[in-house]
Amino acid sequence: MYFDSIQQLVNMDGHGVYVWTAFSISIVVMMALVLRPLWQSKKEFNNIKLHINLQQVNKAALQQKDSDAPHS
Amino acid sequence: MNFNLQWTWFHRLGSPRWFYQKTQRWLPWLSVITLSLLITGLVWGLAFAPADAKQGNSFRIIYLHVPASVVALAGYYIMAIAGAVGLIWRIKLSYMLMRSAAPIGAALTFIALVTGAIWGKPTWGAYWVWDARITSMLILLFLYLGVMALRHTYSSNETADKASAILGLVGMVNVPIIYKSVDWWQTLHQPATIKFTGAPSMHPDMFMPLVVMIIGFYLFYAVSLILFTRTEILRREYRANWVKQLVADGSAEK
Repeated sequence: MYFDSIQQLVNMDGHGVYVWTAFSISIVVMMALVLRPLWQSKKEFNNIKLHINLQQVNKAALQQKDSDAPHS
Repeated sequence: MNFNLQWTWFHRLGSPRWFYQKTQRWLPWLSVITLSLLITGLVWGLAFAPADAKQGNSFRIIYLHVPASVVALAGYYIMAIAGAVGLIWRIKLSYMLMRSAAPIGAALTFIALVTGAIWGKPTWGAYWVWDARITSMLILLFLYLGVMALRHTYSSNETADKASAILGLVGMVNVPIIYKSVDWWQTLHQPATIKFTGAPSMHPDMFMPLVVMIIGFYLFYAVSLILFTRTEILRREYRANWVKQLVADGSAEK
């Protein structure tokens, strides 16, 4: 390691504040770039599942209506 | 006959289904390689590389600032070309890629600007300077945000896609300006660290971790673009049978 101790690595001769702030902001933004699409994909999956269920319910209701209707 | 054979790959490449299934297999590997490169590069750059003779330890911000800037610029070309391909060949997938590239590009440009501002404080004594390089990067951020915002201004996806693609292409003028800004104007921003021709202006001990970080950022871009595009595919292709099957299979497993 370039630094003699962890303390020095954190402090970086007074530049630690700048380096570690830049580092933290970048990591947070990059995490968001991975987590956001994953989270939204999950949401889309649930939406599509709902959509399919709704279609099935509609179909069943239509069939029910057909069989209930008096045959003339 | 021969003509048909040659073009099938092109159409397969443009199929959202093909993309979704292929990337499913690529993602785990790509993610592992990306993560190991980023961790290696960061630990190497932050803890092991020597400090800069003039700037001291604050120069270590370069390991985030330069890769983010490089990929933010390259990402603009990717977005604009995807838009052009969509306009010319009307390939749905390429519009989806364009859409997905915009938020990633905006986020990376944001990282470049913020890390640059933080780096500016100990080096120049100011967070923000209206310098040619920095101002043109700010315009890049607005171009990305513009492409993102256009989506919501049209009710039809098709019109929004076309408008975004055209904005993306027009904005491409800005990219060479950013590259050349440090040469064309007398700026505070230091000249390019890496040049395509000639040796890098850095010691190998400092330069190697930077190379690792740049490759890592490119791969990270690929992972993020794949993830965003997969979401976009689900959002737009929810009526397709293969998507319904996918969702049905997914819920059966649980």
